[in-house]
Formats: sequence, C-alpha cells, structure tokens
Amino acid sequence: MEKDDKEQLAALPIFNRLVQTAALKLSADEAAQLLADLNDQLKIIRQLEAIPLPQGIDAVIHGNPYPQEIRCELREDEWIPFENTAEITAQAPLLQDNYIVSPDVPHQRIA
Amino acid sequence: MTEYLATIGLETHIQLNTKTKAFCSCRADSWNDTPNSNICPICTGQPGALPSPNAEMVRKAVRLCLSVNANVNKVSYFDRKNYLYADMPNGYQVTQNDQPIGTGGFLDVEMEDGNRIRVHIDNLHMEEDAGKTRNEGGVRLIDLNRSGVPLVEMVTKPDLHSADEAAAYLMQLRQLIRWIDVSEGNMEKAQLRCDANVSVAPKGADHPGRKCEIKNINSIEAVRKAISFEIERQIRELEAGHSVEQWTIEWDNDAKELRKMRSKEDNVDYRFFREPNLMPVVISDARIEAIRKDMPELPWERRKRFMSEYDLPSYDAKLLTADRETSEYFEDTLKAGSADPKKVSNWMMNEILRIIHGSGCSAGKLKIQPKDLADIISLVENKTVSPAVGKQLADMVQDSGKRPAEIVQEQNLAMVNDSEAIRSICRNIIDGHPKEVNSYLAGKETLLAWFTGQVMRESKGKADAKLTGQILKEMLSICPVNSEGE
Amino acid sequence: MNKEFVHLTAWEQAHLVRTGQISASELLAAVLEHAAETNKNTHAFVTFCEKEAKEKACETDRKLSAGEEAGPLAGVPYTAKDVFCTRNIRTTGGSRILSGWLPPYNAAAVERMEKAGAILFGKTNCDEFAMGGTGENSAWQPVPCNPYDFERTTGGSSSGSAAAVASGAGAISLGTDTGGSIREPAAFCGVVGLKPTYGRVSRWGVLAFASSMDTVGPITRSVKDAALAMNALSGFDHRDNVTAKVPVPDYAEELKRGVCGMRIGISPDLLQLTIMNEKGDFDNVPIDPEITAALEQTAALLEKAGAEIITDVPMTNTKYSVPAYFVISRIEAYSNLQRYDGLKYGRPSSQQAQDMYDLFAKSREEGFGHEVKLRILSGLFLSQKEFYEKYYRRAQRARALIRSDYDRVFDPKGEYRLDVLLTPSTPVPAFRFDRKDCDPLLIRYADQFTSPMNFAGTPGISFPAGFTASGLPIGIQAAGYDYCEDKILRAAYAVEQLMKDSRGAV
Repeated sequence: MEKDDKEQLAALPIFNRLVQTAALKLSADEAAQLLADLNDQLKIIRQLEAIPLPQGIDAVIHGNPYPQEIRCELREDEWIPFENTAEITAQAPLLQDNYIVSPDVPHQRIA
Repeated sequence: MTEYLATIGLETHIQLNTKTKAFCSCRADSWNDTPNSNICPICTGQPGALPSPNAEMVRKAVRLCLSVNANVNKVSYFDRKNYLYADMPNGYQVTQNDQPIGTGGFLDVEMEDGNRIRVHIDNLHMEEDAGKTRNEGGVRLIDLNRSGVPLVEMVTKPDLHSADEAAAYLMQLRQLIRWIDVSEGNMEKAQLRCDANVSVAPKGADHPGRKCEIKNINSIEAVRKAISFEIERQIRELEAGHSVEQWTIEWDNDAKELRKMRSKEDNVDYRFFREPNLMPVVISDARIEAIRKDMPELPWERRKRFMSEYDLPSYDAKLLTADRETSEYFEDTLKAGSADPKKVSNWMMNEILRIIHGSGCSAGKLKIQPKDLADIISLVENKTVSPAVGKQLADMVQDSGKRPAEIVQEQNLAMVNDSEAIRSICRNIIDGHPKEVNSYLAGKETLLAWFTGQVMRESKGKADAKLTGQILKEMLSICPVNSEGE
Repeated sequence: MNKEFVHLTAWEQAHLVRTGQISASELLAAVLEHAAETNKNTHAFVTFCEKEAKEKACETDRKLSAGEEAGPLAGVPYTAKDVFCTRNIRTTGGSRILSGWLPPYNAAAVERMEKAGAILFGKTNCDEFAMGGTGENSAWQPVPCNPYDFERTTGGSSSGSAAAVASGAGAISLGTDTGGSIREPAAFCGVVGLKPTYGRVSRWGVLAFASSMDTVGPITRSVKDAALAMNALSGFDHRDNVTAKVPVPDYAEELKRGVCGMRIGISPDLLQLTIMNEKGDFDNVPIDPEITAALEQTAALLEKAGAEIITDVPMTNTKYSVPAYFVISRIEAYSNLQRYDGLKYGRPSSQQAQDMYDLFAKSREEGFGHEVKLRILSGLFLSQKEFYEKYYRRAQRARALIRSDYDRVFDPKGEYRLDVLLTPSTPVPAFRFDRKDCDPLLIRYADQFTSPMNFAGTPGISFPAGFTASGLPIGIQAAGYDYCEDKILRAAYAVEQLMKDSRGAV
C-alpha cells in the first residue's frame, strides 16, 4: 500500500491544480477516474528516467534534421488579406457589433 | 522617519512597424478598422492553422538589438507561453523564452538635470501581440485585429529608482525606436507600452522588497502615475507593518486606476516549450553585418557630432536631434547652402520647429524643404531680403509650396538698398511726424528706432534696416526745429 | 448500378473517367450509394458532402468533355478524416467541442487533392483529435467497425478512413499519423497506409495533435494508388514552416524500378515487444506468431524479387521510444488543445457562465472526452516548470538517441546501408471491441512498431501481407529513410504484385 502511495506522482492537491489550469470542471466520479488513470499512465516516467543518455546526445525539436538548404525561408513582409473574415466571426457563439463576446474577468479595484 | 528606495525594472513591448503581422499576412497596423476585420485563420487560432514567421520582424528585431548594444544570437528559438485568456486565441503566445534574439546591452538615459543613468538590458525577444479587449456592460468585447502583431519585448535589469527615471527611459526608448524605424512608438496607439516591476525597501536594506507587476501601462503620464501610485501604496503597506504581497496589477487607462487581477496560483507556470511548428531563427554573421551597415547614426551619436563638428551648443544639438528627420533636415540645409551651422540652427529652432509645431507635419514632410531654408538664409545673408521678410518667406513657402526666389520675385519682396528710394521714404516719414522729430531733436534719441520701424513698415520690410538707420540719423541731424506744432 | 466500379482502384477509376467509359458523376453516384449502404455497418462516416461533391463531379465532366486538363485523379471520389479542415463543410475532429464547426478554409492536402481532380464526398470518423488507436474515443457513436468483422475494431485513429477504403467507399482517404494512426488501421483493415517523412506533406489545415510528429498521408486499396496520392500531396508549402524543400519524384513512375538490388533489413529488436517492467528491466513479449510468419513470407517474396535481405539489423534504442514519445506527445497535445475555449468556434456551454474562466471550464468540460482530458492533464503534469529538464528536455534528448538507430542503419556509407527496414505494422491483428481474444499488453503497446518513426520523423508504409487463419488481415511495414517514400512504395508494390500473382496461381 505504501508503495502505491509513492507511485502517485500526481497526488490529489497537484491533480486539483492541474484540473484548474486545464480549465476543466470535473464531477467527483470523473475526477476520481482521471486521477487513477493519470497516475497509472505516469508510471511510464520512470522508464524515461532509466534511459541511458550518453554525452553528446543533444535535445532536438524534430526527429529529422533540417539542413539550412531545405528549410523554409522566412515569409516576405507582404500584405495578403484573408478573404473570408466573415466566415471566421460567423463561427463565434456570441458576437456583438462584430466583437467576440466573453464574460468578464474577475478583478478588484485597489487604487 | 524611514527612507525608502524604490527599484524598478521595465518590460517594454515595442510594436514593430512591419507591413504584416508576426506569423501571418494580415496587416500589422489596423488602427480604427472594424473589429475582427483584419484577421485570418492564423491570428484567430483556427484549428489547423500554422504560423509563418515574418522576415521583416526578424530584421527589425536585429536592428533594435544592435542599437542598444545587445548581443544578437545567431540561433534563437520560438517557444510557446501557455495561458488561457480571451484575447489569446491559441491559448498560448508564441514568444522567445530562454534563447531569445538578443541578450545583454544597455541604454544610457539622460535625465532633465543632465545626470546620466545606464539602464542595462537583460534580453530582447520577439513575440506576438494579443488581441484587444474592451469592457462593456459586464462583458469583454474581443477584437483580434491586433492579435499576432509583431512585438519586441525589451526587458531591463532593475536599474531604475523613480517614476521620473522610468519615464525618461521610456521617452528615450521611444526616440530610439522611431529613429531607427522599427516602430512608430505611438503610446496612445499602444505601439509602445510597458509592464513595470516595482518593489520598495527601506534604504540600505540588503534585499529589495517583494515586487508587484503593473501591466499594460500605455503613456508616459501613466507610467509616472502608475509607478508613483504603486510606490506610495507599497510604502503605506510597509509603514503599516504589512508585507507587500506579490500581486499582478492592471493599469486601467480609461479609469486611471490600478486594478488587482484575480490572484491565480502563487506563481503562474507558463510551461514554456519549443514551438514545434517553427524552425529556429538562424542569422548569419553576414546578415548581421548587413543590418549593422544599414543602421543610421544613433541620436546620441549624432548629437555629439553636431556639437563637435558644427560647434553647436548642447541645447541646440539636443533639440535638433530630437528626431531623425529634424536632424537630417538640419544637415541637408547645411549641404544645400553655405551658411554657418549656428545660423542654420537658429533658423531651425525659431522658424522650422515653429512651422512643424503649427502644421503637425514631421520635418521630412514639410513643404518647405532644406533647400528652401538654405535659400532663404542666403537671401537674408546677401541682403536680397531683410531678416523680417526671410521669416515671412518661410511661412509663405510652407503655405504655397513655391520656391523662395519665386515668391520674392512675384511679390516684389527684394530688399530696397537703393539709398535714394529709402531717402524718399524717410523724407515722407520725417515730414509726417513733426512732433516725434521735435522730441528726437530735444534729445530723445531712442526714437530713432521708432522712425526706423515706420520706414520698415512703409517699405513692407524691404528696406535695409542698417542703411535706413544711417539715412534717418543723417536727415534728422539737419532738420530744423519745427515750431509749427507748438 | 455500376456496383463493380466502386471496388476498383483510384488509378482504374481515373482511367475509366478519363477515357469516357464512365462519367465522374456516375462514378460518384455509385460510390455515394455504396458508401451509404456500407456505412450502416462500418459507421465510417460522420459527414457526407453530397451536394458539393456532385457539383464538382459535374464540373469535372464538363472539363473532360471540353478537353480541358482535369488532373491525374480527375473524377476519383475520396474521403478525408474529420481532422482535415474543409471550407464550409462540418469538421469536428471527432470532438463535441467542435460540433457544428464550419471551417473558413481548406486544408492544404484537401486543396492538393482537389487540384489533382479528386472529389471529396465525405468526412470519416476518428478518435477525438486523433488521440487513440481504435476510434472508440470519438464523440460520435457508434464508432467505426472493421469491415472484416464488425465485432472488431478498425484500429485508429484514422478509423473511418480505413473502414471506408476497405469497404469500397472511396478508393482513397486522407489520414493523419502521429504514432501509427494511418498504418495501424490500414493493417487492421487490410489496406495500404503510408505515413510520409515529417515535413513531406503540408499539415496546413489539419487539426493538431502533437505538432512535431503529425503527418498527413493516404489510405488506399493499392500501392499504386498510394503513390498517386503521394504525387498529389507531397511537396513544400510555405504555410507549413516544417515542410522541406526537397524535390518530389513521380512516385508512380518509381514503382516500375522494382526492388532488384535493394537492401532490405529485418531487426530482431522489432520482431517482439520490449517493455520495461516494474524492476526497471526489459521484458521481451512475443507478438502474434502469424504476423511473424507473414513478415518472413514477405521477406522471402522480396528476396525472390531480387532484394538482398539483411536479418541482423540492430534497432536497440527504439525500446526507449515509449516513455519519451509519451512526454513529447502529451505536452504538445495539451498545448494544442488550449485554443478550444468556447469563444471563437464550436459549441458553447449550455450553462450560464459566471465569468471568462468559468466559460472556459464549462465549455471544455462538456466538449472534451475522457481520453482528451487525460492527455491534457498528463501534458500539464509533464510540462511543469520544475520538471522541464527532467522530463521535456530528457525526452528531447532520448528522441535524438532513438533517431540515431535510423541514421545508423540507413547510412549509405554505414555497415547496414539499408534501403528499407521491414517490420510488423502491429503486434496483433484487429482485436475485438470487448478485448476478449487478445493479450492486453499487446493492445496497450499496439503502436510499438509505428510510433518510433513518428519520433524519428522517418516514413513508413503498411501494406497487406496476407491473412490470419481466422481471416483477419495482416499488415507489414516497410520503413524508410527521410524523403525515401519512393523506396518503401517500391518494396510494398513488389510484394503486392507477387502476392497477386500467387493468388492468381491458386
């Protein structure tokens, strides 16, 4: 049992913070299930720690190398208007005078 | 009473004046456009859209780095800064976290009193702007026209200690970014804005106090106000025996007040990681050199040169290098004529700056061009026109767009230095003012200037003032005392 | 009507249309009718865009009768996984959070297929945001079923694409592959699935899963069709910064070169699963022996066709791929999902929101499914600032290590000098939805032979290589080096032709 606790990489307080950062609202059942699944999956992290990484192996962003000659050049600074802007805004659930509407952000006056 | 020392670091966001946004081909400048009209899949975070970095953004960022003596990193990376907010359509901002385009550097800021403060730069990084939000009736209205506009964020070390110093730094930075043409630097349009990290501690304390971050300050005046408010607030807290909490405060520019943001986690974790959709930014030495070569002389360098090369007083040099166009106007005027620098400087400060102020145009956009000013100065110097007419000429050129010589001819403004003509005007004036003649002869010699003025008026300013004086003196000296008036 | 046309390959269909033996409109009608019929059992589709397709078919017929150029795939009906943006055609990525979304633009791959003359007639179901290996994570139920056995999964995440192609509902479907999502369902459904080199095909307009590994490729019934689709899809696109400026050969022409003289490797490390156990040691888990047998048979066919088989190729680091892949894919995925906030598109929460953060939470809570939430939470956990070096950077370094295996064996001056590496596509054939007949470990690690290549960025093709005794398709994978899609296509083509011959002989 004690061993199991140690394996809980994401303990409840951490988990709750993750849920908040993820912007999720979970029912109690769903939270319990996700917590269990998360910790089950995170066990894999110990395998990562066990990988022997020799010196000279540097971090890469992509697997394949991108020699300079095959890379995409930076974009020319030339205005090309997008023709369907109305199709973008039409997808917003709430639109007012062509503004996308969001509920307010909580704040507090201090001075 | 305890004395306190404020410590301030500024993070300035400089909107680059590229044609297009950082990662898409929408216009960078869409001030006053209909909301959400200057948008595309990329800058609105549509699923499946991918960023495409703007070459001009990189060039301007390098230019800015070079201007503040920063080290340009030959390889820099774009990272994602993850946070959810209504004005951030991807839920992350593409920025440069740990390997930015520029590191180090400094800006020497001159204060009103002549003191100079060296403000060290920590780093300069490229990033994309967020959209704009507006509070209205309890909701936030989101306009993504600005979303994705390229910014360089320039982060100082905590080298500033008062609201005035912060304001002076910002003003000098604004001068610089306009000068090197990387930004319009208009704070009203939020093209230059800053976040200030402010902390206060008793003087002599080992550690600076805990800092608060004021976000979104967008005028020099607001910088002074927001920072002063915050320094006072922190001192009040300390005096009351409280410790300052690490808050994020937003400057509400409409209400001119500070608002505390909802406190989230103690320390927001942005979970930076490399933006996998972008290649690293690679800049060759040759490219850096090409950009360096293309760099104009910087304002403080030019100011120094104006003082040494043209022997201008510091005051003149400062005024003439307030912006690049004015300084170029000055030198172009010199090149176009042979007048001496101090004279040109005087003409610039008296007439051209007045005209700039009145017209609202920058020096480079005036109708009166450097060649015109040089011509006017020569016309005055070689006594073709009087100084008074010269001044009028400047306005007339600005109004009409005609060349000075053309106007002189059209309006017959050439100075009258034919002594007979002047003599005749003088005769008329003397004859017409017996009372004044008597007073003069009775010893009130200062009236000579009055007589000269009358002659000038009569001649519409064209009479040579010096010659007029001589003639008047001579004619008055042989005038009989007139008794008619008594 | 015209039932026989639906099972033809894209190449054959294009030929019939071009030569006027059938009109594009007739072909489309036949395929639409067949798709509607088979969909009752396979549930491959989430959307049919009949109206748009019919208009395009008419236009194609007009062009052809006017003698205008209509493209190499003129009139060929095709489908796309629901992660491809299709302008004004509903695109959901299998997620409730995008229900009803009408994209304002087309994905680059869709544009290119259209330019080649192919006609999009439907969007296929998939795991939500391509996150899964069975299709079961889609918000849209019922999920796709395997045409060979409706009780079995299609694999995933390009589940509907494989099911549609296998059942004759379109000869080509566009899929995406981030860990095996083209190759696994292709193997399970007995069709061809090609995952190109990362950066070979533009990802513009494809809903992102893990951006450093996402690839776009075709699922087809024949290798030649895969080559034709790759001709249409491949090449640099300035809108996708990671596409490479590498010339694109005519893949269909390349097929004719055969495999004579090719060096084809088999790695003992990729004939079993190697899984780290509780103690930190590695356990070797045998895979389905029928698949191993199919691989041997495939190698024998290739050898017969003139290829040289090298059987002792070491791929010793690929076993480290699982944890490193997990870290990178989860972090990128969570970040890519940040944009779904309920403000700009998709379905808003049905509940009243108190404030902005509340709106985000309600929209995401209702909009995302369990697996996606789990991946978001994993990504958030793994990307915490204090773990940056320990997890993210370490996984990036492990990625370089895993890549070095591929560099070594494909190095033209190295010891192995491979053109192609032959591996199983999956450790098991299609398993049952109830998982009753299969080792759960083999299901859990079903992407072991495919995901390391997403990590390395190298291409692979899964092609049919016979059936199990119980009649389930077996897929074998030809893996290649960067931008060598031509070589893996040649290998797959050679096997396809030889197997056709041998079937013909029987």
